[in-house]
Formats: sequence, structure tokens, C-alpha cells
Amino acid sequence: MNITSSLFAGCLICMGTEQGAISKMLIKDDISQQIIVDQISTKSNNYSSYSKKYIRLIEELSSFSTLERNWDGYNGVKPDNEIISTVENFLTILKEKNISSPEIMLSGDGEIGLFWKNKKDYIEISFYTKDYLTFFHTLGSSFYGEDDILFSKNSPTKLYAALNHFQDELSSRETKSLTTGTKQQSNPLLIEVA
Amino acid sequence: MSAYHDLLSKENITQSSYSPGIVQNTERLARVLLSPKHYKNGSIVATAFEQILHPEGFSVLRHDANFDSSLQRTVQILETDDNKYIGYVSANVQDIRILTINSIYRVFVVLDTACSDRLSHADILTTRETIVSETLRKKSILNFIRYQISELFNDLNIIN
Repeated sequence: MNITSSLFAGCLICMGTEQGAISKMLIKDDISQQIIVDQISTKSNNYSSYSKKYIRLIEELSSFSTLERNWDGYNGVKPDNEIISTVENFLTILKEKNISSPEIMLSGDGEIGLFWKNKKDYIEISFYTKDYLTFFHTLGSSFYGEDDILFSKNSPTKLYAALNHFQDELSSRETKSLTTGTKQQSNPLLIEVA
Repeated sequence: MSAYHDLLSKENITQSSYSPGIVQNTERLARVLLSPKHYKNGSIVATAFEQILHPEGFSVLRHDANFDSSLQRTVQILETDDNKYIGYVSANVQDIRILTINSIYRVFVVLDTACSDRLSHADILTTRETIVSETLRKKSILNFIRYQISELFNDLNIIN
């Protein structure tokens, strides 16, 4: 079995079978084949973890509805259920767009925020009212933001562009480290945001 | 613009009869935390600084002035059955005072606002009128400011 066929077979396996089946495909102990199969197997696991992260995010979001007044010790109010639903809807859009899961945060005035952060970039989306979002991002030394976007009707294209840029940046770094053999992750969908 | 300069000038004048003195640039400030929702992955989140945008100011404690007893009293005031003290997060005064956004104007001032029972109490206020940006709107610029200060409060002390 050559490398190409091994890769193809590995992909098929990853689409619908258990990870353990991959190792059965390794008839020949070739180091480069092993690396490829390991990468595919890692991707398979990460696709699963990608979904799990969104599930955990929704669970954390839902827990906000059980908060009491003064939840933060500074007279914080709990977010409206409509805002919680709005964030849940937006998370569904992010997941459908294969954007890596953000972190979630809550403000004392009932605002819910989502953010992505790495060493030099930061993207934050805030939800204050039903169906609307406000966002800003700092990518390198530049920053940009927009207020009150009705995201079901007006696609926040600059926000999505920033998210894609953010993922591409991380992806290229991961790919670079792949070539040096330090890490086995190259698909932007599988990025774990710090 | 005069409001901006008035606010800045207050930094050089003691604001409370209980004050141990004006806040020096070399000092450090702490924000008391009572919710684990205010930090993620070992860092404070921007929404923990939502009150920084309030005109009445953002309460902090000065590490160099009667800190322990002021912290104890603050915890006494803020803690409830549902909200227990979990720690504090600290920043350098100088870092806060030099912050600007695309302009020569400062974003924050730090005032000594000691109380009779918390001598180390201070407030951070936002200099709203001079904060402008061509690339950020009204709300997003405030969120940007909130994020900027959360980055300065980067020394997290959580009790076990």
C-alpha cells in the first residue's frame, strides 16, 4: 500500500468508523505512512472534540438562565432569556461555518460575550439585545468594530473575515510546526483556541 | 475638553480626607473577584471590567496602602451566601495611566478615594469625551476599552 492509497483509505475510515480500525490498515510498518495515519486519526478525534466544545458552550450558556441577581458580587443581573437564545442561534451559525468554538463570558449588566484570543489577536462579540450583535477585533496592531448588527438579515461580513483571518493565522502556524514535526494539526476546523 | 483636564488634575489632589496620599505611578492596584465566571484559562475576561465604563468609577484597592485590612473589609461588604471571595487581580498604575487609543489623550485616570473603613480604596475612571476612533463605533469602542484594561490586569491571584 503506497502513501496515497493509505491516506485515501484512512480518510474513508475516519468518515464513519472507529479510530481503532485505522491501525488495522497499517499492514506495512512504514514511518511516513504511520505519520499520515496518525494525522488522520488526530483529525478524527478533533472533529469529535470540535462538536463537544460547542455542546459544552451551549451548556454553559444555558446555565446563565439559573443565575441569581448579584451573581458577580457587584449587583450583576442575569441575562434575558431572549439574549441567551440569540447567542445560541449565533453559535449555531458559527458551528455551521466551521468556525472554531469561542470562549463565553458574562457581564454584570446582562450582556453575553464570545471571544477568541491568541497571543496577538483578539475578537469579541457582544450580545445586548435580541437578534443583534456588536463586535470588535484587534488583529495585530489594527482594530475595527461595528455596533448593533441584526445578524439574521445583515451578515457581519467583516466579522466573518476577521474570524477566517484568525483561523488562517493559527492554521499556518500549525502547518509550519507540522513541517518541523513538532505538532500534528493542520486543519483550521480543528484549531483549539487558547 | 475641560472635563478631561479637570479629571486629570484630580489625580494630583487628594480626593478623600482618609487617603494615605495620591496614587503614585509606581503603585499596583487590585480588583476583588467574587465570581469564577470572571476568569477563563487563568486570565481575567473583559466583561469582568464592565463597571469600568460606569461614570461613578471602578473600585480597586492599592497594594501599597493598608491593603490587607482594606481587602478584608471589602470582602466583608461584598460577600454573600451565594458569592464567596475567590481572589483578586492586579495591575500597575503606570500601565493604566499611559493607555491611549489613537490619540494623545489618556483613557483612564486613577484617583485616591479612600473610605473610613478601607483606606486603600481607589477608583479608575474613564475619560469618555476624548475617546474617539475612526474604526470603532460607540459600543465597540467601549468594549475595546474594557478589553484593553483587562489585558493590564494580568496578575491573577485565586485562593484555593
